[in-house]
Amino acid sequence: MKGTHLGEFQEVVLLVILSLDSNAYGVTIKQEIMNKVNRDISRGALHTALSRLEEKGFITSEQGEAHEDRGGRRKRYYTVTNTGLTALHEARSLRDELWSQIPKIKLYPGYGK
Amino acid sequence: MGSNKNSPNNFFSKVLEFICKEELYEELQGDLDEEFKINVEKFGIQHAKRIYRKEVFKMMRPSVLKRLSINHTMRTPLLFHFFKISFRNLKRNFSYALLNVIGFAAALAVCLFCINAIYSNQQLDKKFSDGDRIYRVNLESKTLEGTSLSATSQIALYQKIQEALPEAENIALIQNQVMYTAAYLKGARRNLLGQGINRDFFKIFDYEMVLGSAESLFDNPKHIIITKKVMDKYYQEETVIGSSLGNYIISGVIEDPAKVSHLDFEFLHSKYEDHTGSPFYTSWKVHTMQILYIKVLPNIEATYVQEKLSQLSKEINEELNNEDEGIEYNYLLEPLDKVAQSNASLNKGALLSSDAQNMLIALMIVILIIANFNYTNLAMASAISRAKEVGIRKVLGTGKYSLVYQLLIETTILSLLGFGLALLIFKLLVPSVASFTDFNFQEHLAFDQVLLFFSFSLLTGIISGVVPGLFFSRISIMSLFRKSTGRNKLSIDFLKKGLMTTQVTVSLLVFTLGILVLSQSSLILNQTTPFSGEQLVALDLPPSDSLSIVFRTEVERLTGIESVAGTRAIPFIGSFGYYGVRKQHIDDPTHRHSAVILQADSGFLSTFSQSIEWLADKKMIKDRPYFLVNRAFATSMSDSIRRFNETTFSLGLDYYPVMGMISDLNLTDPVEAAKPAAIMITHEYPLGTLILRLNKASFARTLGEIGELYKTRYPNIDFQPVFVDDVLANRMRQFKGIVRALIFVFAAIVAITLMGQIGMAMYQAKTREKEIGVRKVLGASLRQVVQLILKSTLLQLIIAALIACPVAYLLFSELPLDFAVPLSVSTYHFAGAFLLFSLIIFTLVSSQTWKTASQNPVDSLQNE
Repeated sequence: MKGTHLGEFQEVVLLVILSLDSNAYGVTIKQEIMNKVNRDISRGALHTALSRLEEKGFITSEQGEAHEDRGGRRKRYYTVTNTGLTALHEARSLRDELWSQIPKIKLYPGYGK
Repeated sequence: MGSNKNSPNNFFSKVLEFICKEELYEELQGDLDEEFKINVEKFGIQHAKRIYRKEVFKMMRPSVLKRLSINHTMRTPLLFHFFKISFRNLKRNFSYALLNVIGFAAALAVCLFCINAIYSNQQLDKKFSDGDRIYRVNLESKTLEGTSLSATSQIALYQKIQEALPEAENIALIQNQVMYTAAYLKGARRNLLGQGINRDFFKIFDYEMVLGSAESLFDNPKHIIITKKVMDKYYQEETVIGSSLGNYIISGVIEDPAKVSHLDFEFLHSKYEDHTGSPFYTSWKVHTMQILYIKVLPNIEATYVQEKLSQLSKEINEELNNEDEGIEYNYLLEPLDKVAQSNASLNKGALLSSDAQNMLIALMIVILIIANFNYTNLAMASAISRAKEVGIRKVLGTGKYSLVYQLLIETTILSLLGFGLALLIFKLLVPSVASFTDFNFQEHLAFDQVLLFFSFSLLTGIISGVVPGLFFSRISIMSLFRKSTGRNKLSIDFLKKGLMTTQVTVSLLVFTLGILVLSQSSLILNQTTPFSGEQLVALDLPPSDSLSIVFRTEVERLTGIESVAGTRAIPFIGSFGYYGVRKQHIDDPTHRHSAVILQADSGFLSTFSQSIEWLADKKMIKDRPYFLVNRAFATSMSDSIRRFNETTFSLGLDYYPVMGMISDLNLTDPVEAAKPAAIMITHEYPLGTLILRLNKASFARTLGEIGELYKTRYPNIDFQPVFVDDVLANRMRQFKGIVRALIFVFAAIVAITLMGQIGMAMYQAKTREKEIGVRKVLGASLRQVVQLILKSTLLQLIIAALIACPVAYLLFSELPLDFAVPLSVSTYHFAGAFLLFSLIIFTLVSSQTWKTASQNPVDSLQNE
């Protein structure tokens, strides 16, 4: 289990990559996190998360096309692997299970009145 | 491509390129560039650049940064391993390592003392209130000789400054006419250095009073204030106030001035001459008797005061018709915080002028370079002795840099140990060094001084580890095992010999220079003076012609008096003014030569008879004044037309001849070459100072009788005899202080280099251990073995001599000073230095070899 654990931020990054489909590279991932999750992270922090996810086998990457706006440098696109998907599902079901164990009265103080 | 304005900061882009892993760079730089363009449109160029810079900083994280090669090899277990090996090696060669450490520590300790002396000097005079408003008035005299700056000025200046400078809130005077007072303290005759001051002195220099009050000094002319040092030496604290010292009564005790200020005295009294006093002392030609300080009113600019002083200088020069004599006086303000470092002459006390400080810094740099060289040499030698160990490690595949790290750790540990030892030596020796050299030392070191030397030690450790380390990492494995490889010049063997010869050469150079410098100093200290001062007592007479004649006649009648001479002033105390001397055979009235002249009467001849070399028949000059000149006068006053003894000279009015020579007469600084000087024998009675030669056997009794006579004739004035032998001894006081300091420094340098030699001798013996063992087994005697080793040492010494002697000669002749008795460097000096040094080296090498040769050959031939 150690080494396959998915941190909260890593989970967010995986979900954002999935939502961006084939357009998931550094700039877009960062922007999407900013827009959807309202978290302003640095490119360096994002890189750390991406490299850890890649080490764990949850994502893969490949080089894309160069662009003038990037000084003629190529992009690197990321995709979620099956392992990554599995980890995401596991994390979600673990969360759901924990949520379901909490009595509604605790989550919603006015419930049933 | 967009203009420069719209591109991110070039510098930060370069930083990213430098720190980022190669495989990530394209992606990350590309992303940052793209984001930058977006931000420019969203937020504007400035904000976008700010964001860009922040992003680059935030890239400094382990997943992005390039791995430094150190990370590969310097993992913790390996580091720990290196430390273990280092300690093992140090333990094995304990005495060698210890020697290295001690030599290095000694060098550092000496430098700590030097830097401390400079620092302490700069801390002087900081305690006085309103120090930023206090200035000393220095005198710059331009004469035909040249320009000189002195801390002292003329007595008559005081009144002029009072009139011309209302901006001076206080004017302090220190006067030196009564320099010494003789007193019988603790059963022996002592001379104490005293100075006359005025009331404003304490308003400017608010020293702490240990006992009594400063004002008490002025209640009674007999009162004096002594320093704490004098009290501790001769009196008890409970009874000192009211005790007598000679003819004075002690009314107060003051803190030691030399510890906190540039001034140095043993007691203070309140008597000083003013402008109406003795004509000699108030003469504008005499400027050695008074030091003048002013405290300027608040909010007055120093430049304004200096302008007024310059104006005053002009007026004084005009009043004195100085231009006729080719003299010009300029009075210059020197701020109090600069006085302790001043280059002005006659600065009292053991101070380091800025010239002396620069010389000391240069010496320190030399010592540090020698220490570093010594240390590196010994480290290199130690590394070479482990050549086989290194070879084996290389065969086993040790990394290039691991050897460097190994040696680096060893040498750095030792150098830092040396630093620690140096601090300890400093702490222990500070009190004794301070008393040995008269200079001020602080008991503790400033933080940045410690940091400086710590950094130097670290640097030395690093250099002496890196140099051999890099050498070993590059050398081929076979060279490490072979003694010498035919073609490869850089074999171990050659290196060994080179190191030893270099060590010997540097040591010999230092040794020879030291001997030359010390020979020169001893020549100056032991120079012959025409007068020994023995049995001579000088007495200043108050201005009164008739009384002086009466007094003199009575003194001459005393049985214990051998001769009496009248002079204008006590010779050899400071220096006199220069006169512009004219030659009769030169018509041009502006053509003058500078000389120091002391007027004396015919009694001078009997008092100082032995030293005079007569050039003409004495009978010729019964009533006419004449000159007795020194060698410098004779040389400078002779010209192509007439020699000095073929013409006559004038100081302004009549012309007088030269009748005799006192060759080694020096009325100026005894350290430097004598300036042209002459005694003018005049029949102008009476002259203000008597020089009495007393009979040795009845010295004390006669002195008492003179004192009684003096009290009768001058009942209101204290009898203050000056012992001329003390005056002569004191002339060299400051120079002696410098020589003592030089001896200390040179002794330290020589000791350090000799320690390096011992190290080399030990190393040599160790590396030839097996050879010696084999020779013993084959039947060689101890003596034969030692002789064999000494033969190679002799060769090293000869090579060293060929290099070191000419270099020492060149360096010594570069000394800029013009000494009174210049050392004529001859082959004897070099031969002597070489022989003495060789003797030391032979002894060192023989003792080490003997030790090794006395071992059982079985032990040395076994595998280590």
